[in-house]
Amino acid sequence: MEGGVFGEFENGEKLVAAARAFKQKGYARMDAFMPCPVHGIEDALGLKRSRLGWAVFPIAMVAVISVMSAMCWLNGTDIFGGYHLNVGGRGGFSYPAYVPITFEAGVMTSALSGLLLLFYVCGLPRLSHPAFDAGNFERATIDRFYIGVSEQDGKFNGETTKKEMKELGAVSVSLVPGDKP
Amino acid sequence: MSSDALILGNPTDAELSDQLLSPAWTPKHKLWGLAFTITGAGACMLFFFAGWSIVTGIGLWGNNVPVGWAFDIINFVWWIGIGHAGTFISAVLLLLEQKWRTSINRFAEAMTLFAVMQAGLFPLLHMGRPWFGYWIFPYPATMKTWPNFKSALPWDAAAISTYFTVSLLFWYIGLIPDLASLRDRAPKKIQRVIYGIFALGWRGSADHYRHYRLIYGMFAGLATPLVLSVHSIVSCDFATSVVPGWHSTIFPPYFVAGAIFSGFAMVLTLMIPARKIFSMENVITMKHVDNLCKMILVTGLIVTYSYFCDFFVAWYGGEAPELYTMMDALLFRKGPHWEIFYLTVFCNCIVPNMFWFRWFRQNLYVVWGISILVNVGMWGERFSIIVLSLQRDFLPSAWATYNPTYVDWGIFTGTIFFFSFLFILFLRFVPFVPLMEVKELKHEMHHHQESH
Repeated sequence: MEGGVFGEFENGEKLVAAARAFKQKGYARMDAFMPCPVHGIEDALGLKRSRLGWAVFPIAMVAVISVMSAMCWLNGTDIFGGYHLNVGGRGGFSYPAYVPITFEAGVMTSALSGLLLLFYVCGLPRLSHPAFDAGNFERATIDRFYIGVSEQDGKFNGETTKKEMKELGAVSVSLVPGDKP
Repeated sequence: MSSDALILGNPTDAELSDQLLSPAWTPKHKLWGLAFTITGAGACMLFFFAGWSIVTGIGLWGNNVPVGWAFDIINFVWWIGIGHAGTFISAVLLLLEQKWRTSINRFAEAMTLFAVMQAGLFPLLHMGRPWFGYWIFPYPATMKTWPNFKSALPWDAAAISTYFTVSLLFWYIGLIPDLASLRDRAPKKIQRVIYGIFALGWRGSADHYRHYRLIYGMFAGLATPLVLSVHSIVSCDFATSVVPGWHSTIFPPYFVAGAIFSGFAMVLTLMIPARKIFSMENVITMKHVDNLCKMILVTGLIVTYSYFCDFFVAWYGGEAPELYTMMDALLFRKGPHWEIFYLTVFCNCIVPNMFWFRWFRQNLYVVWGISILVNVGMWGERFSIIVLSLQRDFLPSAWATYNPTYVDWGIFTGTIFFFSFLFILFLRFVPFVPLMEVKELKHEMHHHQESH
């Protein structure tokens, strides 16, 4: 989410309760900010399980297949710059001996692509965000829990949303408009 | 207070945050400054001896035919092995949902990183011309040659580089939320800016956390087979050869167990002083120490079994050179340096059995002493495998005795100093107990208590 109304809550239970209430009121574009994952918040906000794993798997498989084939080619054939390396009369396509490097390549590729995908879907690194301007937000990584209702939400209305946030028990509420493009 | 608790007392989130983050800005402990100076000087010694070896050549070392692999490979295997406990704690125990991993995982992962850095130095120096180190990786060379992918040495290069990269990324991903806490809590502007850059703008968003936790879990899933593969591949450097004493099929599991064994010992060696100096006794409790001791006992017994198996197979196989190396040279003390073998057996097979008794597991002095002995023992094991085997291979006319030079010792002790130097910098600049995860654990345990 970008800018919107941010409400500060004292603990995880109040955060989840408030998120549920907003959901019931018909808000859809919300996010929560918290020092550690709170049980039940994903359900309350209607967030689904991440499916990044499905993106990493095919990338890793491509790496595994290409590394295995590359070794068969470079050590097993004389074509296109390969060199059939005959050590102790062992065959060129001795794939069991290529398994360790193939495995390591699969792990390396999964790790790197997983990290890059994580950064991509989270929009990180991003050092400036409207949330950081919400009141007391430096406690969001320490001991306070925040709900942000996006100004792009269909139901969003600065004053009303602020009032609703107060009614749900927020100790501080602030309206931070998003960056203008 | 029972000794079974993972977090002592009932600190608030803010108290916990201040406690775990404050080593980054409170005035230095006197002991820390002393350690910094000593280990820094020791690291300089490493750079001196390593530089000298590069400039003059590795003739400065004791390696000579038939003992072409000696301190360099011993130390390489030893350091890599030490690294394994970090990955084991952070990945395997995460997948097994062991709650006690939480306070010590960052610590152990940092140990992994720094240990792998020391390990990586040795094969590079052993090449004699380290500036050609990239020859081990496949690249389109003008010489039109490629590495032999059927050899265990390119496997090693692939395994170590993957292991270091994955460990580094795993460690960094875990650090991101805590770097954000540091950014928000540090008193000085310069600290806020630097930590802020490394925190990448993390704000604890629920939408981010769902991806974050999946990727963190995925890294654990990747690191688990990885940690088992790395030392298996290292053991193949020996097992795929025909040298008596090396050519053994038990090596991969034997090496992995030994690696985790020595790594847990190193975790204890570092943890016991660190928790005291930084007053972290309430989050790294006696329960953690107790569990680590039990892990040392278990892996120590596996190592003992592996020794037994190795000797049994040598005897049962009945091949003369193998029998001579294993039985005469080691067991019956006819080879040079047999003392190291007996030291190994004492440190690795006998000493850890003290951990059967609770009293020993609860006495920090005993635990620390044993952790040192285990590391000595594991170094001795690698010495026994590598040097004692090479000294006595097939042809008696080629037998010789290996003796390290002071340059060997200088580089070896230098890496210990350099490792400690990196480690104490780590203790000071990033929270070594993962704050976000300890908070999560605290809330979880709190819930658990309420629902009973």
